[in-house]
Amino acid sequence: MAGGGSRRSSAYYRRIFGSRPPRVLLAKPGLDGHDRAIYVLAQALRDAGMEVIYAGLFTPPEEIVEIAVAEDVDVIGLSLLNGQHMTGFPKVVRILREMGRDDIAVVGGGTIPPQDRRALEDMGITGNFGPGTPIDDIVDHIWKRAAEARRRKLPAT
Amino acid sequence: MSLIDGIVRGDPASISRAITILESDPGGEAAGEIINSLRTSRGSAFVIGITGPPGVGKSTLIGRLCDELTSRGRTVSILAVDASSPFSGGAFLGNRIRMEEQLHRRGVFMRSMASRGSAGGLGESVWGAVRVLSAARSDYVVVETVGAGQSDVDVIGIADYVLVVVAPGFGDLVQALKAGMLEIADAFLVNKSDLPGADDLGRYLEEISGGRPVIMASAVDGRGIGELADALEAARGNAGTMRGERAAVAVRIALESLLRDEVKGLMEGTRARRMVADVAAGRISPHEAAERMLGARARENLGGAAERGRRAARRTHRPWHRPARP
Repeated sequence: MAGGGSRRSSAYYRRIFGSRPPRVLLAKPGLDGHDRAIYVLAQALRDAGMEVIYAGLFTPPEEIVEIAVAEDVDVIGLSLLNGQHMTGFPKVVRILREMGRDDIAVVGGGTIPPQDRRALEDMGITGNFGPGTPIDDIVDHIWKRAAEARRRKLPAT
Repeated sequence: MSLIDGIVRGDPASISRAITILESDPGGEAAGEIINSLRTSRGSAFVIGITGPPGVGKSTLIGRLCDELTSRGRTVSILAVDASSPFSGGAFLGNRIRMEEQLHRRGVFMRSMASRGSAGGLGESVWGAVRVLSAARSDYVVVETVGAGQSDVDVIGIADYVLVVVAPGFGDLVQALKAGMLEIADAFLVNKSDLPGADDLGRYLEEISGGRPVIMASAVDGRGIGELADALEAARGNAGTMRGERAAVAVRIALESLLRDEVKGLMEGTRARRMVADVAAGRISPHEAAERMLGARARENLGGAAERGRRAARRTHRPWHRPARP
């Protein structure tokens, strides 16, 4: 919980998130049964002070967005280790865009080759962390994206 | 489309945003406006509280129950309350994984809520969310909680019907049912009833239930789910008479919750330390210390209490109070 704890108690955090911590939905938009890493990340995010919802395995993009809307999350974290990230990830972003939901950020991770990272980034899918990434880097990135999303979510009070 | 229109039409994004506002600042102006606008909307959901120790299969059971009730033509929404970590303030809200298939197939709205370390405040957030889902024409709102601790009793206190779920192999049942659960249960359900020990558990519950239903079920193979739905439909039929009785329990629970917070506050600060030292030295009795602390607090609070009262009177909604239908 390295950077998380200090960040959570900062004035910056309190101003943006108030009494409602960052909410993150973790999902795997495809045929990929590997979710050990999701659980490790879920625990790190929880320990950093976020509320984490996991959609479970094999969740189609439409359903991921449906859950994200019902839970009113700040960030969707997508993971695929099967090479389908160029189909699964963009579809989630497209549906969000069609719904006009710019208050939900999308972050990616998995076995993503360098040439795909740029393309995903251009679509607004950030992070795209590969194997071996220090978990604090991922937590910090999600934190940053959550703050951006939250500022668009609720009218300033 | 205004937020209120969206809620009444059952638009998930509107329902979701309203709940966000209500849970972000339950006593705030925006929350009060929503609750006030929804007052005139029709629709009154029957609120089922489902509680029991972690791991007894509540989420799986709720998925099954959703299938059963929706196939009978009822609309169902779910609020799943889970504990926040007392250390980080974060939470892992995992209930959805166990019922996602049914939720998606049946188009059921579900929202996960973290307890966020609050006692009475959580009850207020859940109460507000129930109002929103009622206005969205849910016949049933299912509130799932982890059967551990006082905040649970607070939340469950706002339900019209409380189901306590147990399963064989979860240790001492008396432990599982403490913290007021036994008192507020309307029915008991023995899940995983195919496992050894289930019949003994059922018999024991029959003995202590005082005539309340004990349902033997298995969320995995569907046994007992029909019986549970029958019991709920029957209870929903005479919800009106039950609400009066339950309201008294709900108000008492809310009062207890506020008083507990008050006691916590009284035990902090220099006066408390002085009193504790006096008691330790044998100068005064614990009872006298308590009376002095209460007396001092009452004098201090006269100003503050009056302000709180004025604010409460200004506030448009009254937690725990169900407005009479127009």
